[in-house]
Amino acid sequence: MTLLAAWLLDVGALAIAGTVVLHLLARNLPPAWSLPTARFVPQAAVSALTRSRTPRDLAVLIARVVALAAIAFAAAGPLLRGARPSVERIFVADLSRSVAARQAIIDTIVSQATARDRVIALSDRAVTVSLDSLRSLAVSRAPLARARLSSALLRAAAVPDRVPNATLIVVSPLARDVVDAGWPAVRRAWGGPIRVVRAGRIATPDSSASAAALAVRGRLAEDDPLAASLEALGVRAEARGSVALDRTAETTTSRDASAGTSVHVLWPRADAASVRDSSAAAAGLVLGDTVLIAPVFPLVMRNEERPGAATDTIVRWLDGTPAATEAISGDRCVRSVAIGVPATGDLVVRDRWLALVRALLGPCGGVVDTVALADSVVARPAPADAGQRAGLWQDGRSPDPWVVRALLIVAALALGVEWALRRRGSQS
Amino acid sequence: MSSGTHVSRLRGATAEFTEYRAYRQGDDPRRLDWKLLARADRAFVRITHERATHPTLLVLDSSASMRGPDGATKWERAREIVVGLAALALSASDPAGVLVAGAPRAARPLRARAGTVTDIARAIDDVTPAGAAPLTPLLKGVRSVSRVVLVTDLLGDEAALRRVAGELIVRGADVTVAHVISRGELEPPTGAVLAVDPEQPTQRGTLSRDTRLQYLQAFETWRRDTARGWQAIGARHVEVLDDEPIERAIRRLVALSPGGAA
Repeated sequence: MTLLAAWLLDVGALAIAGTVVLHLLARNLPPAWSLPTARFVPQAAVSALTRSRTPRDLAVLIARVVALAAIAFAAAGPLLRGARPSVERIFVADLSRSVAARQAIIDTIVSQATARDRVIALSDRAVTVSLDSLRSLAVSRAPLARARLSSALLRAAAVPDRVPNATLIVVSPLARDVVDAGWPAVRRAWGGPIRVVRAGRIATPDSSASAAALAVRGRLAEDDPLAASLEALGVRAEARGSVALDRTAETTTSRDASAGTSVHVLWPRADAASVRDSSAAAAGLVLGDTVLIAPVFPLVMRNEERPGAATDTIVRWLDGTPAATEAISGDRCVRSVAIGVPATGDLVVRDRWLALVRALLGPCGGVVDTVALADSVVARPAPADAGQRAGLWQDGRSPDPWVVRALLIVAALALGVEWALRRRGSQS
Repeated sequence: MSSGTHVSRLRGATAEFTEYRAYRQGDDPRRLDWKLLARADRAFVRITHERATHPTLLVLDSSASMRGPDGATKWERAREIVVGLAALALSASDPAGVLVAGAPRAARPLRARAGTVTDIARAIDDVTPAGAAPLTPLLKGVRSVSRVVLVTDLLGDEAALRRVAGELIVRGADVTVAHVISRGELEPPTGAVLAVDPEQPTQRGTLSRDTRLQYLQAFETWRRDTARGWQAIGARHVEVLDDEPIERAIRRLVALSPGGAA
């Protein structure tokens, strides 16, 4: 049996000890003695603090002790099943695409972690791994997708047998690429301290990710409004470009069209068949922290089934529905864009629109943000209200209700017996 | 009325000769001893004592206080006194009867026949001291007895009892109070106890080292005042302790009696 607040047992023990002392040390009336001439005894009531080796009213004392013990056990939160949480440290190994020296990170964790700690490997997703598994990850290929520290923290929160104020240790060179917009809110929800251990180094930016190096395979129609955007971005149309842009309405990618490219963008032109909702004359798009309000409209998404691919939404409409998704599989990724581009107006050459297009035609997982962050962005001390958040039962779990109920019934019965014994004693 | 063994208060010309006395004017000439007058030429009258019976009524207190602090020792002593005095009275051919406060069925009328003592002893043997029945109503109904013995601890209706007893004394009765006291009342324990009146449980007080002396003083004062009060009305007041030998107690009660019991 586990007690979620064992310290309350100590409180109960103190209360029981105090009760026993009171029964040994009590202001007592002397024993009654029938005296016919009692009228001549002075009426001033005299009681004395007497000590005894054996407690008086043993039955009452037993009833009180039973009641106090039952209440203390009930308050201590008995849990018949489940072991007491023991994981006090959780390591996060940053093995994301922004890290160049992954072995250094793994070595750091192996040297510091013990068997009681847990390790979460953060590559394109966060997974809980053993130390042995972590060593094998050193030789794995760097992921294309962006990693999010938030997902590692959420994974850490789901670690079983974790104490509520467990320490999260992030072993990382701490590039801005791993910190997403949701990190501050997620970090506030963590009950314990967060430490940063600097290890490894941030990867060198990929020169192919620059706009100047962006090359689109295939030529666009002259009346395609997206052609103006590509021209404004300085994107060349080359036969061996790194990005295959498919403006047809086909639902499957042509192997020939995508051969040799790492990014395949399925972005159909707006026509009667592909427009999903033309009534949205002016809609909003959300890309990361950027919001674009423009006369764009949603198209039917050309989702391609790619087994084993991790699909991620990279652009959303204002109502939260996906506007562009990215499915990364191996060293390639396929983006499905369902944004209708108006044929008129100057939207296609505006800066925000161009930034959106650049992102949609960018490398898999987006451009790696290699800006180094300060520790304070990630780390923080233990929250002051950690104890309050943990509640009465320190690991946040609830005791078995039927056990608590049974103990409280026992306490009530004992108190009833105690009352009856006292009443009988006073009557006699 | 049959002739008893007691010397009557009345002195007459019959019965037992006692002494001669010089004739005084007004004496009954029939009491002159004519033979002595002839021999001595002086006039003497014969003084004699009348012999009479003394009906003895024993009034027994059976209230709860008669149990005493150390069990029923007071009650045992009171019963022994009643039986002993009844036996003495009957041995002198005096009729004896008993009234028990709170136990009317235990009452026995004045009788002088054989077996009366046994009857009285059996009657009061069935009584258990309880309650707080007063003695005064019993005494109010008493008529034409020459001796009344109250066997009680006087912890009940003492003042009213004394008043009615005074009326009996005025009517010529001889009233004796056998004041039964227990040793525990005289010498309570030195340890602290909560003294509870058996007749009034709400009457209680802590008897401790500090209050013991006050209790003894108050009890002593009350005993002294009570004895004086009874003596003042012409009654005899005799304290009888529950651990005192019964023979000595009876002897003291009888010795103080003006007529004597034997």
